[in-house]
Amino acid sequence: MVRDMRGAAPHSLVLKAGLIGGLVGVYVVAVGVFAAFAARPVVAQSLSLGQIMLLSIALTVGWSAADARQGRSGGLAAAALAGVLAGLVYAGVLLMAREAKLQAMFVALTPAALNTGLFGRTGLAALVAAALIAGLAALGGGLVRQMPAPARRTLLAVAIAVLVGALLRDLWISFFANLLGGRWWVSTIYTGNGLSWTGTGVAVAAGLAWQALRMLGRREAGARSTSLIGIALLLAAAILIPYFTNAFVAQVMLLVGLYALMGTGLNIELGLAGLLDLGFVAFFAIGAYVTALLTADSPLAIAHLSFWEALPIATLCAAAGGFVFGLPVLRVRGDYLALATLGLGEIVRLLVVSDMSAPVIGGAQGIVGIPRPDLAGTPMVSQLSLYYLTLVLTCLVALAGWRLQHSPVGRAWAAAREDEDVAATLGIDLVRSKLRAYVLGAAFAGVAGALFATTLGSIFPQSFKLDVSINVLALLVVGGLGSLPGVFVGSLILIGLPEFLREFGEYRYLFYGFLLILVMRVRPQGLWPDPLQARTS
Amino acid sequence: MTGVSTLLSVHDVDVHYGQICAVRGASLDVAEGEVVTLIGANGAGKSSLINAICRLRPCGEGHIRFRGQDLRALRADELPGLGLVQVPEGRRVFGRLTVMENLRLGAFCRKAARDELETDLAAVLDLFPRLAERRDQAAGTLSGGEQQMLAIGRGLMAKPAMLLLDEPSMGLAPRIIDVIYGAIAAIAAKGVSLLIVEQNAFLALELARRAFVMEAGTITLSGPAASLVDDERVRAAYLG
Repeated sequence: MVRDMRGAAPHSLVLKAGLIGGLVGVYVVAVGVFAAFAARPVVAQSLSLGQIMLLSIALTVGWSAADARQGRSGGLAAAALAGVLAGLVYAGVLLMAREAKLQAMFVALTPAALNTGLFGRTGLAALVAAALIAGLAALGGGLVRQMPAPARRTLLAVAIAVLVGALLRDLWISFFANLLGGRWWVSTIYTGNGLSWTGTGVAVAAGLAWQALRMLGRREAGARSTSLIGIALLLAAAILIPYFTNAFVAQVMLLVGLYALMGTGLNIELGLAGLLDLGFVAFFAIGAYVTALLTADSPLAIAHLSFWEALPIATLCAAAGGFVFGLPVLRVRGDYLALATLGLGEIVRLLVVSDMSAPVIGGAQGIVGIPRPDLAGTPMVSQLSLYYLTLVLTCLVALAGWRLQHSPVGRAWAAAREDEDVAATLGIDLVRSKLRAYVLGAAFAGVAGALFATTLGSIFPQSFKLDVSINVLALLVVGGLGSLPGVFVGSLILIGLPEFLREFGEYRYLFYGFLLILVMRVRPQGLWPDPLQARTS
Repeated sequence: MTGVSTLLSVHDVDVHYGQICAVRGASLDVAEGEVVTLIGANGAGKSSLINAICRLRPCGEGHIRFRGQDLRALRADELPGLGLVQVPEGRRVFGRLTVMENLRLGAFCRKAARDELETDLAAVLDLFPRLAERRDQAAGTLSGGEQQMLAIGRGLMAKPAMLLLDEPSMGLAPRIIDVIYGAIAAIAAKGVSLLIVEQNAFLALELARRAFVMEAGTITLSGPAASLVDDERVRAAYLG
């Protein structure tokens, strides 16, 4: 993982890994992340998320120090040594911090946090404990590095299963309580906020089963049918999990669905046609505002259509916006396009908040009183029904995207993305081809905007900021550019997971940032890449 | 000039890169069904001239006509529809697409029926059996020779009246070059006009009827390929 250390000599590698690891540990305690995570038990009241975090730092230290050039035992010794060093640095600095009473500068360095961070010990005992624990964890990291890849993957699957089982406790309880019709099992699986030992066993078994299924699938079936089975599982989860859980989950999944819808649209632009569009939110806003103006029970409304009548009009308006803006900017190449579209996003947002447009679209007050869509005469009020509407529309858009990808139009996008000159010599009109992708992406963003307006019932300019574009871009990259199932996975992880981790307050964005870096470092092709792209990149 | 049957005629064309003049006053012509080669050393301006013909480079003076139509009024993507298709230098295939997707892209300019396309695909796979073995493989994972086959096959899928082959032997092993040139000869035998740009003059001169020699941006020699093979200057410069 830490590739840039590979060139260093063994002893300096140990020194480096140990020092950096120890200081990262200190940092985690000093900024308060550790305290927040330490309050969250994962396994049987005896292993907290905070401890897991520190252990994984030590594990990473061992991983980095266990250089292959030193041979098996040499690598393990280096790993353990680096871990001991990291533990000493960590405990040493924290002990000094306790003496120096640094809480005035680092508010999170409370005596209680320091006490947990130092395993409830003082002086030499704390140093020895930290060195021992970090050394052992680092030795584990070294061992993991020397393991054959399948064993490593199995271990990772088990670790993820335990974490997911513990951290998404409320989700699982709600899901299985509705599925099994009772809560009698809850106290067996969970104790307090974390997994019990039995629960940990169940999670480990689930992780092992998952890994076994994956390996079996890879061996028995071709890549194509494996990915079909995967898509079927994903779809089943998307349909069933919100149904068997609660309104909160449905609400989060609604947001996930909206982002997946936008992701599918941007996937056409970026994943298929290679257009880096940072102004995507502009078309989302057009779709939302057109829907609001056409349907709202508000003095600003210009018509009182139903959602179903407004949806195609909003989509067309967003597409028209894409056409009008795309015509001039699509003649520029590459990075310049990103800047031009970034400008568009800002223009639309400023127009929406400006006083000039306030009499027409409400300015900062926004538009309220947007009705819910009707289904067979009754309005869809529950979060769950709105979620299913989003899911259906997302699937339709994804299906359209898939059909396009494998049509001459989609192949022309791919060709222009790979090599503009050669694409032109094959008869592909570059501007026209890009415009087509841009307009389609804009139209899909318009659909998402219309849904957004009707599900929230009111819209405000703050909802249409640059971070929407950035979020959609990030979820595409995390999921795997050009891959439709990747869009869902990316949206679930980047949009859904932070919502489920609300108990960690602002620190949940730490997951977001950490995940982005981790994916880019370890799996740059994305979590669920397009099979062909994965093979060649 | 071969009169009425002239397919491509380039007359007095200049190509500039800023202040630098890469091609000066170049003229050449290719008749219907003819194989012509443009030979010259690295940097002589061959590729610049080809790119000017294909409208990938603007050109200054002169005219470029294909079937009597002035290409200078057209964009690059309008040429394959007229039957003029380039097979680019350096085997520029679309690496992340499969072999079949690359081939189908070749037919992008045609409004052909499904069966007709399938027939043409079969013909290309027949010409290059290696591609048939690798049909669902990403083009970027092919060997250099296979990529060159794919680039040529992709060009053929456009059903061209004329193919511009830019250095088809570049960077390939002699055994593979023989395979490629065998296929090129088969294409020529079907009546497709060819303009082959080559540094590897010997092979091109063997196949072509006429040849043009380019040096430092200008065409210095032209004539029947057979006589150029024996020309002292050509021998000294390209054949060794």
